[in-house]
Amino acid sequence: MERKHFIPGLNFEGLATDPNTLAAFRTLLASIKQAKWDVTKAEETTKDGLSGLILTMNDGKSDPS
Amino acid sequence: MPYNKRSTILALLTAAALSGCSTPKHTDLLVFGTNTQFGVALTSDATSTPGVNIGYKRYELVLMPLYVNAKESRFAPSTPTSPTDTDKLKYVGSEATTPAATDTYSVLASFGARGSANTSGTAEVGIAQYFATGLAARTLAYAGGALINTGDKASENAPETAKAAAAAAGAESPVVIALKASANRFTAEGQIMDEFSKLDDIRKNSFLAKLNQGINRTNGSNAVTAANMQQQLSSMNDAEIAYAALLIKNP
Repeated sequence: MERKHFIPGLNFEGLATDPNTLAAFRTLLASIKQAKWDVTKAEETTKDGLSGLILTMNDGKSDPS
Repeated sequence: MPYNKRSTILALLTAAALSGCSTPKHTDLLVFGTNTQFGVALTSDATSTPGVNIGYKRYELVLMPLYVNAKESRFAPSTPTSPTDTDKLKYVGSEATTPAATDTYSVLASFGARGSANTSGTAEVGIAQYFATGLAARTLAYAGGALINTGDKASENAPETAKAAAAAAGAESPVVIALKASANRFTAEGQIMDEFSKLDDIRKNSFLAKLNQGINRTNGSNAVTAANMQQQLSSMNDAEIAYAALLIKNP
């Protein structure tokens, strides 16, 4: 099943230039992995007027619905 | 087709294309362009250490007018009589110092980047790039140059100073706060899944019954089951996740 998670304010430049943001992002990736999701895609986007990074993840299972 | 004939046609086409271009508004332009590509890659090992791949591209183009386009400017003298008249058409930056400083148009642009990532060694990337003209270039040369490290580590003094001040004040940027909140959420989901997998069937059923009752998902189509629990957790709000996290401790 696919799942998307939006983090407002995050972008690639922020990850590339701010060590604190990168460290927090790495912690998030570890947490996602622990929750048994695999991040398959990350892209900058705008949602509800806010720019940010949207993570697409998959758990490798079929959609129960 | 003979080579010289093809060349002739090509030359004619090129000439036609060039003649079709409109005349630029400013013919006295400083043109400056760069192309920056930045990459950070973190690898993952077999024990599920997370990986990060960051790709960053940036294209810059500066078209900086040096002179007011004399032909169209209302400042242009109708009949220039001396070089001084032409100088009046320059874009000039000035600073109220003693004596007053003047120079060409003052522009400062900067880009800094830093990456540090790996699981088996050290991979570090640094890019620092500045573009400056006029008084900004002077200031950068006099005072800023000593503060800019363009070696293997990128550094921009002003942003670093701001970050250091924020760190000293204990402030976190909103995006770091958002990332930590997201991490806490996923950690909670992962812990619930891990705890659930350790339960025997009787306790699993008890947990699911209590959870569905507590978050009002007793309807067959939206009920949490062992098969769909991971997906259901992802759709729960924070309060429901908190309830599930408490319940899994004592199912």
